Amino acid sequence: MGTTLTAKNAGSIASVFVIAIEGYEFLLTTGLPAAAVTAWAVTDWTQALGGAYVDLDNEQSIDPYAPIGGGGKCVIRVVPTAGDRFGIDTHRKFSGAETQLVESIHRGTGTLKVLSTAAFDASGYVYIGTECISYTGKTSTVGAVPPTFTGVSRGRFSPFKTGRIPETNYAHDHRVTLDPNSVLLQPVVSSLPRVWRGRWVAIYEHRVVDGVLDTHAEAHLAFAGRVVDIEDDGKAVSVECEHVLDVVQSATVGRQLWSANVKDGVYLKEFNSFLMIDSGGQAERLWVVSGTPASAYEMTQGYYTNEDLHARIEAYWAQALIDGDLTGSYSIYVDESGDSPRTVIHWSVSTSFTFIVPDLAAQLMGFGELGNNFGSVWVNDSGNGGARDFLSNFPPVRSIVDKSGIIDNGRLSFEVTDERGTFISQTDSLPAVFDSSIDPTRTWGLFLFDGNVTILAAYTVTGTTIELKNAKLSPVNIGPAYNDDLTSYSVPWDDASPGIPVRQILVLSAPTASFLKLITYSTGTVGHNHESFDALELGAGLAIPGSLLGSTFEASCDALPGATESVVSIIDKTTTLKDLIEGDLILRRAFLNWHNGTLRFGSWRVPTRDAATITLDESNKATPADTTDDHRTHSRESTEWQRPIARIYYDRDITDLSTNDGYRSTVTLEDSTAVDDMGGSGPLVTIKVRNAFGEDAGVGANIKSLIANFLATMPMFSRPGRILTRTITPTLVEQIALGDIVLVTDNTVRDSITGIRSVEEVPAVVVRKSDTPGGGVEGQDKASDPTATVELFVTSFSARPEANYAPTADVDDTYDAGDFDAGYNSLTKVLRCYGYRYGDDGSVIAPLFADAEYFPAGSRVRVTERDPLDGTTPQYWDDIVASQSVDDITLTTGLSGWDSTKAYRVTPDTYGDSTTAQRLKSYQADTADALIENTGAPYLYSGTFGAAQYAENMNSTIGIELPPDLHGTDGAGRDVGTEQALQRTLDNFADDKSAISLPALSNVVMTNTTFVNGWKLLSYTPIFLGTELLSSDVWRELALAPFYRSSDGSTVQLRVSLCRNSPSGATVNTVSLGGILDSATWSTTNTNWEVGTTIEVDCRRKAFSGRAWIVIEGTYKVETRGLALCQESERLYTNNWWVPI
Amino acid sequence: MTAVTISKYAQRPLAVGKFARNDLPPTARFQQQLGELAGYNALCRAKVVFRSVGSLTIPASSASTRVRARFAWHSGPYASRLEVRFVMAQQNNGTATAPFGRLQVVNTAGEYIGDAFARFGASATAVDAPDYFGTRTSLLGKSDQLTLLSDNVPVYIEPDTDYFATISEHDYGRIQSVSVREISMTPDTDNGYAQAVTTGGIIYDTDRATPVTMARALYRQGGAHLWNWWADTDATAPVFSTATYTNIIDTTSTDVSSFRPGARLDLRSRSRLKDGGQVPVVMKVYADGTNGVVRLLDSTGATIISASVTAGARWYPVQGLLPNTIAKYDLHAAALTGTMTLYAVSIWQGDVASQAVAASPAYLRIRAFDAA
Repeated sequence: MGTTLTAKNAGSIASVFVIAIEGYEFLLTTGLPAAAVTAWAVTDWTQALGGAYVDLDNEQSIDPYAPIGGGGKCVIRVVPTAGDRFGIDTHRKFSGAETQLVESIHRGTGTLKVLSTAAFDASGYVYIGTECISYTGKTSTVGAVPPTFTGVSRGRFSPFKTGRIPETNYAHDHRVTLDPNSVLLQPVVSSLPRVWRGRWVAIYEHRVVDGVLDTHAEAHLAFAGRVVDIEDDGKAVSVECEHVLDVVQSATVGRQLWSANVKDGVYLKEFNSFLMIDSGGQAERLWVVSGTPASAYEMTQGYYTNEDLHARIEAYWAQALIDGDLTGSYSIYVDESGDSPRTVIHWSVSTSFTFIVPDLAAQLMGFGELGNNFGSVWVNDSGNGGARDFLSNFPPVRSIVDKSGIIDNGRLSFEVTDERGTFISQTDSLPAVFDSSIDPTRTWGLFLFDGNVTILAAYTVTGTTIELKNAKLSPVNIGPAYNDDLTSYSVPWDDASPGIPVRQILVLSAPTASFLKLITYSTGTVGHNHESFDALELGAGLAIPGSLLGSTFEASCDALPGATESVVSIIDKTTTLKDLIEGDLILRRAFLNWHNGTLRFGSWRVPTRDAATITLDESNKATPADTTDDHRTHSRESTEWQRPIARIYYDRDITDLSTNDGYRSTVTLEDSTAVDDMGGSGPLVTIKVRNAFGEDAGVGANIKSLIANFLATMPMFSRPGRILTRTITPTLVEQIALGDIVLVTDNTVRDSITGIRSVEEVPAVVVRKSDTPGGGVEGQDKASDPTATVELFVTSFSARPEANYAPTADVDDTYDAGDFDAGYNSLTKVLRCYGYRYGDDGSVIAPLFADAEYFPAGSRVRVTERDPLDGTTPQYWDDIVASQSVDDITLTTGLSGWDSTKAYRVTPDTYGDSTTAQRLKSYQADTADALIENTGAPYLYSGTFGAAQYAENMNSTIGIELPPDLHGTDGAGRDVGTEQALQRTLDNFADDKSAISLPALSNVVMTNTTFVNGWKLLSYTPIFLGTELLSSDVWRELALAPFYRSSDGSTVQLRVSLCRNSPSGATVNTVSLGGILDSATWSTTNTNWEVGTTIEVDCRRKAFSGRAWIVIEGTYKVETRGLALCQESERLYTNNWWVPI
Repeated sequence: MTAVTISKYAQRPLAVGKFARNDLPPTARFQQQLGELAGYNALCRAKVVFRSVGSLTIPASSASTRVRARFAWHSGPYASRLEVRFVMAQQNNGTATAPFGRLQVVNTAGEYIGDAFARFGASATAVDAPDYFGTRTSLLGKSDQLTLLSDNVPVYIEPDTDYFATISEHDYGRIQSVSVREISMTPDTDNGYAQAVTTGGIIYDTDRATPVTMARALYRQGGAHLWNWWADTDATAPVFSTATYTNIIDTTSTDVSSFRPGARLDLRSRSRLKDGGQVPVVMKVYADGTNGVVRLLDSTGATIISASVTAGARWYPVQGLLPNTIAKYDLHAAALTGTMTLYAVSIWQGDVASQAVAASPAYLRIRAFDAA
């Protein structure tokens, strides 16, 4: 029977709409309710309401500078039926039993804990927000366990499912929050639906045949969106819906980013000490210790406010007095009575004192000047023994974070308070360049500190204490330099602010395609919406129901230009998706659209005849939406998108958004010819690319490669184009998508070359599409007709010739059957070619023709030696194809001197010798006159972004060859075989041929005969690892294998480390390794020499200069001569992307 | 002169099946990617030609000039300059105030090309531990006086050329380790890099000819250096005085086995179609003798390459083919008559037979980076 869509595409059909609203147990339909229920038999729905009318106005367009557009409007009108059930349900305020959630639930939570279940039925449905949840039982309060709904099934009546296989119901998060930044009204759980705005809505078109509707699975999803408004005009209820494209356009990410304030006080680290001396004696030192204090003269390492310190110091003084070490009586407090607060030491009895205080503690209390870190401050006073007050020189401060980092070996540690949002661990996901010394046992994140500085720190929770530890500057160049001009971070005593703010910045690092999937699928409940790509925390993704995305969407992501190139997105605040990725999509010439019931990305392509999928001519016009019988095509020269100058902003500094929104770098691209043609000036387009950084940053999309791609297609939009507006028959509505290439044959359109009306097969891009499906109209007996209109973009150079690659067939050099010798039969002059080498690899795509079939009888061919010894003088023959069959090409003259030890390739003969039919393919012009062999008009490069389906490893195993010069000459075909050979050779060079090999074996045995209890340094050398930039997506390893043994049969170990810096140490024993990138360890008891097992170490965090260090250390009794193998790997890459915890 | 933008980011292999098939048009994007890949190879995949062992057992200071290592190499087709990284130890029995290490380069005609210097180590009491070492990075240059490093004039090395290097210590200098690499020419069309193309642009023959030339030059002359062996000092260089072939590293073994010192060389996927699974290599031997032989043996003990030493102290070149596999190789030497002193052996990938084809001086004009 087929599907509704198939039938629509084939011709006119009778149909009705069935509408499913999220969490609503009734379907709505424009037809008979019973038929709708039957068609939806395998879904949650068992009831339907009639009386619905659908006013659907689909309208999508693409714009090269606005890649995420809207999708049109939809209003559902429902007249009263079934006792006005829908009107009542959508308008009543009484919602039956109600209670509140007492514990947050994510999308997969199976138990609902509430304040009370008493008023609810024993089983049934409850509603939270837009979600309907069924339950089979309930409990009352038992001890500390609150009342609970049990047997819960989430996401009931969800019109769109998740993207899991098999699909599951789509549910929501419902948060119980104590976050002071949130409204503290907890989610209401009710027995009847209360919330309508925001519900997902699906409108399916069902073909009707003999009163029977196509099933739900067969129906066509005509609209997907969400409820934005509900009105009642006294006659009917109107449900206004926004299209899913509009949902995406306005969606935000980064809503729940973690933030906090630095806790008041100062962090005192182990080995800090206080010392009090007075005229009666000297107290023992008060030491800061890392563990539990063992006496009154020890205090725990950690955070101390002024009050904490005062109490601890006073206890110290008191103990010293008890112990008879001091004679004076002392107290310490802050006096706020004056103009400026001061810390006061009130003292008596003794005649003098000296109090030695660690500098940070002294600065906190006002005894030392902020920023002056001298180790300790001496506080002293003297007098006659009476009561005296000693006042600090400076006001105390509430908080200090020491920027010099002396408190933690060059790194900061500080406690935080007022925590908000959810911290997302990025230990496994930070881009490779972030830090070579991240301790993977901790949870790391990137933070914006005091709005000024980006720091990398470990988020640590100990009991109720939350610390950011080991903080250091972000190694990524996204903030200002952390220099000495910045004062220490401190909060004045009388500052009423919450403290020094610190908040997490989310860094998403992935190949572009994975990044887009991750952003769109992620709900905050890992795995709910997709097994792999629902991985971001709540608020970091768009949570688009997976059934609206699916394999079509994923394939479209994979097919985007630059899909595999890395992108690093830094989300520092709540951001719309549009703002987050618009610039990236523009530079990739990509756009988001809706087609055939799914979202998908498309990309701008230069319209060519070969790329066209359909011809629009007089036969498939239809009445336009706003007129009755005008079928003429409207044509206009358009400069709407003409931007011969593009200014691209990148390298965003998130710590200085006040200046140019943080963008630090720009590059301006110009089509100078287009500008000159416009009289010397032209309109400018500004593109802000949030996720691109300078190459030196070492992260994210590299602006150079993005610009190269953008430039390659810039002429399409730097010159004026033509826009054609015409109608199409409704049967084409679902066959044509935005961005598709069509051929236009139209008697009413003027030819761009001759100016005369009538064009034939002009390639154009579909840039706008609008349609109304027609159907029943409320209050009228007659249904409205469907209408559809498209706008087509014809580029300024679309009329010039553009053609496919000149074809290639490789001779099957393995074929020796019969009289064939390495693929050639000299008796019959037949060449046997490989079947589908250049159509496809034979598994992914079924090509239309075998390679040899591109050379039909009469074709002029050149048979050329592949990979000749001398590229300037390859062996080759020119001949004419006498006949052709399957993989065989029969030549007219034959190949005298055939050498069966060589491999050969068939391509078209030169342009001048080729047939007219062959010249429909591409040939090369020379640069001197821009003509082919001085006569032929040149062919042009296409902007088509390649095939949607392809084998990544196509022909990767057919051999490395250096093409002969004759394939790069004037008049030679731009053949696909040479193109692929070039790619193979160049990639092979990058991977293998150039891979660094640096074995180094010592003539003298290096051994550890002296150091028993650890690693002894045996050798180290600087090493160069190339100046390329490696990333988490494409990297290399270094394969290592030492030549070593145990000198006495005891177990010995040898460790080889790849380091960023040279080792340090005053001896060769237990040296400090400088920034370990990776290391490998071998162990043996063998007293025979051996080459150890090969172990690969990771090179990706090497310095950009390529400089690194190889360090070899050994345990006691190890002997080595160094590395027998030190071999750089090929490029390694993966489609994997990070998954946060 | 047109600058070419080359991203240094390593990218995945090109999706050739996506762009180049019989039924697809040539796209500016793919052509651009081919050019960029060729440029990336030329710019970022330059040769690393030497890395020393880095032993912490460093010979004691010497007042006289002392050779610490020699090596030979063939410069890549886009090589422009040479960067040398020294780790220097302090002198331990000298009195000089300006000891230094030096790398000197000469060509096959013995003509002086340039030096790189590292000045370090005027302490009276040396400790051979990392805290007492100094790292120096130097570009090859020329100096009238060896002690005046600042007067160096930058030296550009010729691409696609055989060179010889000597690493030496002077005035009580002590070298702990050295690493040497080439730096490529600036990306510019004058230097042979491919020019960018755009959609709607004409399909020119040079758009293909340039990457074809680059690929050929890179593959034939840009293959990685493979292995260096050298004597620790000239004074300790092994002397072979019998016809029994002996391992040059331990100077005692006469057989080949996994117990004997040798290097594992990975030559997988490094063979062209025409070479039928073999990789052309060049071995050069620096030795002094009149009837000596230096052999490269595979793990079965079969001789793969053999260099004859016949005419006194000099470099002796020989070409050969290695299988495109990963395997361990040993170096053995013998003096068939008299004695032979062996100082150094260098092995690299090099398609010598076709060298003249790609090395067109008119095509490869040299422009270099101003700094490393």
